[in-house]
Amino acid sequence: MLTWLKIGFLNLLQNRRRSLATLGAIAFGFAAISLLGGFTDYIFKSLEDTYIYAQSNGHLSVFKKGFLEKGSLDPGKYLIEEKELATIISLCRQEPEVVLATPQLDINGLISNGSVSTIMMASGKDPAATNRIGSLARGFTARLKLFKGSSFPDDAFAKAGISQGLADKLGLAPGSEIIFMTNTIDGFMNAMDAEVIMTFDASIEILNDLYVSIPFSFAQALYETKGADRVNILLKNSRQTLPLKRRLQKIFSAQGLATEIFTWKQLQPSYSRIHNMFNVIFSFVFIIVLTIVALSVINTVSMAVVERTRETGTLRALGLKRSGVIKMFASESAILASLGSLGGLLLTVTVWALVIFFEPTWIPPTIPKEVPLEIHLVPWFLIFTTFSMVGLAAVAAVIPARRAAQMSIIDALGHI
Amino acid sequence: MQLQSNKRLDPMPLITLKQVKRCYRLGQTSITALSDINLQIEQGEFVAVWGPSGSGKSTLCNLIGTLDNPTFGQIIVNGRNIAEMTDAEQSDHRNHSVGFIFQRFNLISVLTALENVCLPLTLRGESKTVSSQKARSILADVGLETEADRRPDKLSGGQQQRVAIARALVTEPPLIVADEPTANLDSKTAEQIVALMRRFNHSLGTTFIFSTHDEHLLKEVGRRIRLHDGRIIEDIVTTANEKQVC
Ligand SMILES: Nc1ncnc2c1ncn2[C@@H]1O[C@H](COP(=O)(O)OP(=O)(O)OP(=O)(O)O)[C@@H](O)[C@H]1O
Ligand SMILES: [Mg+2]
Repeated sequence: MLTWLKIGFLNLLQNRRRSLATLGAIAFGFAAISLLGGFTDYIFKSLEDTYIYAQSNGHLSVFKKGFLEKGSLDPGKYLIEEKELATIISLCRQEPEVVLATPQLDINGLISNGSVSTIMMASGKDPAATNRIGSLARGFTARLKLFKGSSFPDDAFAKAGISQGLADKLGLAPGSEIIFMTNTIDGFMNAMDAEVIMTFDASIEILNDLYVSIPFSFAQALYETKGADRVNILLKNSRQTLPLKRRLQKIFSAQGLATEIFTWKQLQPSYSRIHNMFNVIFSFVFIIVLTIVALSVINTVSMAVVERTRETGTLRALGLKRSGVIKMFASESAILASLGSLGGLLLTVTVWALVIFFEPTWIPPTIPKEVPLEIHLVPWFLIFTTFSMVGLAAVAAVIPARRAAQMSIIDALGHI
Repeated sequence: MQLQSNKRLDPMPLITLKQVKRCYRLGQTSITALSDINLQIEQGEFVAVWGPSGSGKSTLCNLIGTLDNPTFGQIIVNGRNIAEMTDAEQSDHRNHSVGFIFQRFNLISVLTALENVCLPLTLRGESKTVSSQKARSILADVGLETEADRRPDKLSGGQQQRVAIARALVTEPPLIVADEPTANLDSKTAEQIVALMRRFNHSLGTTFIFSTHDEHLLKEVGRRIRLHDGRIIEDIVTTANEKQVC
């Protein structure tokens, strides 16, 4: 085997220029795939982190069965009652994988600046939990400040964060006084004063004229309930999302609770859309790169096959089998691909280091703010790319090598 | 008794050709390169195949070396008709039982003399230590121990052909086929090469079949097969008592 690798390697050296050209194609192809893969990984991770940490939604959300389909028509019927809420939260807290479980209550109604009023959608979350989730964020999400003004103190009550579009419409800024007018759970009209402490850009444009953030206790007061419409659960590790969903589902049904649990992926429909979009882009690039690499390898090996026809005939005369001829050219091509992958790895690491050094920024599709652009080095993905390149090169070499293997020995020996 | 019966088996010919014919297709027409070849070659013979250009010398050497298959007839080696072997079996047969010496030496240019000699052993999966040891000793036999680590392009034609002889001998095959091994060498070197082959023929008992169109080289041979237009017109055993003319 060593001799074959040596023959392959020495032959590659003998045709340095041609080998370098193919090696370059493989190296750039490798870098293109792994950089795009690293960027895609960054996109997916930041989508995940933004939803889970920056928007403090957690990994899992527990709803009363049917809430997501019918809850908006009859919210009272699909609310988690006070006692159930306490049970759910205490059951969640018994799980070692759970960092925290916190209730949320969303309400609709009108918001007024004293003279004009307009419709709004308010999300009531516990400020202490929100602050804690934010403090656990990793990467740039930890440094991300998505609002103007100050954040909610842990014990905030009649305070509100207003989306920028809504603030502009009503002429509001941090410090402004506002009035919330909502229905109570029993259908009565309720109105309460509050103070604007922050403005922010909503993650989706259509929400920017509607969305309001308030403390959970204030939402409960406006709606006159002790219940919540969901419990958000933050986990230690994202990988536990599905196992814990299944586990909690079992625990809750054992307790006779009619609940449904959804993962952050299910609750963030844009995630799978963006995920699919990047997968399509990635597949395109992947296929194009692999095609270029395959063509370049086929071209190189075809030339080598022609040049070394007499050598192949000689080796066949000495007893090399047809399959051996194919193995010889395939392993030569695999050596080339390994070296090319090594070059590609160096290129990738160089670009990665440059990105870290220059810290470029951009505005991603889901965060209305300039954030650092990153490229992740994903070890398993680099390994996968290397194997794809080496495997592809070996397989592509078989096409021309088969011609060499099928040639009659005397024709090959007679070749000049 | 046992020994005697073994002795009787011994003269079984190394190779038998029966009614062998080889035609080449050239477009619509077919060229008959060899026809009506009947031949037996015994273990230990030193055979020269000679004749003018185009007489079929290479074709005959290729058939005997199982580099090629006959269009018609049988070639029997070790009791087996080679036409019935698969390509892989023929490859194994060549690796174990045939050595080749070529007109243009055909050494692998990127390998050293020693590595070239090792090749047939490497091909059958022999360890590097064992094959290097064998190759070194056989290189010494052909007088090239000091050139072992040189690449072919650093050797003269005569030296390259001696490396090729070492490569052919390293597996200790019963048969070595050499198609015009001296055509690319000057006459003095050519004679040295034939003498070298003759030496191994004597010392190891290896059967040599070589082709040439140079009558000067026929002095030393034990048997001459003369070809003309693809037929054997003369088959003379010179060193043995019997003289046979076909
Ligand atoms: N591959 C081939 N295709 C067609 N015809 C061939 C082929 N090889 C040999 N021939 C023909 O077969 C005949 C015998 O050729 P062969 O090469 O065996 O002769 P030779 O005695 O070795 O000649 P030389 O001394 O020139 O090497 C010639 O007429 C030759 O033209
Ligand atoms: Mg010839």
